[in-house]
Amino acid sequence: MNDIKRLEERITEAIDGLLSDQQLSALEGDLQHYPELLNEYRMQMGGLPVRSSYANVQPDPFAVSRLRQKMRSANQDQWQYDAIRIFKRYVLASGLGVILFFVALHVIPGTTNDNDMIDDEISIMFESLEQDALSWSDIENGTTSKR
Amino acid sequence: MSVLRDDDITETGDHVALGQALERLYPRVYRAVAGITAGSGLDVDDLTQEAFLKAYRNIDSFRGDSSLYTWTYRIARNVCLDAMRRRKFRGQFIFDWFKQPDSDYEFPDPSNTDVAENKDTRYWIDKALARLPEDFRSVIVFREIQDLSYHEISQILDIPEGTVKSRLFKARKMMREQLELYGVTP
Repeated sequence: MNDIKRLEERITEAIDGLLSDQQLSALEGDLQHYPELLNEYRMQMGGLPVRSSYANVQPDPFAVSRLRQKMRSANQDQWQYDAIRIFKRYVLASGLGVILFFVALHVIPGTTNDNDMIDDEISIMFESLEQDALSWSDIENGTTSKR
Repeated sequence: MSVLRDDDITETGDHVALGQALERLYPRVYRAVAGITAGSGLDVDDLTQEAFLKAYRNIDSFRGDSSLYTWTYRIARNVCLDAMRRRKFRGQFIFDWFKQPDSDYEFPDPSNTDVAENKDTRYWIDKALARLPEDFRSVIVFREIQDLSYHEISQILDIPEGTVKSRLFKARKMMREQLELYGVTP
């Protein structure tokens, strides 16, 4: 662990009041070699006004009773929830697995229709060669051919 | 360090335990949700209810590796992140308050701290929180608002305690700098 990260961790502990006076003195001594960190340490010692500003954040008074109501309903339709969860986890996953399997079968060489396509290409090639041969024979015979 | 201790809750791992803890746990989780979703315009009450219902329905998967309430916090945080992601995906993630600033919330002159102090500090805190990357916002919320220990935060966020501390250092620095810009001082 590098020194800076270790010092950052100790600063955090100091801010949270977890260091003894002796440890604090040692920390401040170490920070003398890192003026930027020392400055940040001093700034952070002032604290943040976060906790106080959130102290009054409260849910509405009926929120818990509403939740209890929902929990009671949840008990009744738990089987539906479980069914959906099982469907998502297993059926959907296995369905995707089957689809992926067939896609893979289709993509792996030798299991596609490539052979048929190659056959078609070869026969087309032979046809064109045959036609070329005919054209040459026409030329040799002094006749022209229109392709 | 923590206000809500493990022994506050009967960790029987069943629905009853969660039900019994509701009165104490609900306001705390509500505040955490409010902090994590600060400035997003998402409904804090809806998300809190969703988080508890999710915890209730999935209580069977609670393995007892952590305490029941840190487990609930983790679910609540995930519910918040999912909601924010969905909103962002739909292109609706706007900092509602901040896009159309209310006339009550005009930017004060940073040199005049009285202006900010006389306003609702919560607005500025939320604005600063909203500007933090989510990882940093969560540590601030769990430490500063919830008063959880490093160990508890590390369980919720699933990161080492050392990372919690260094992240907290950076998060506090960013918050302080933001609040200074807004003229808010402790």
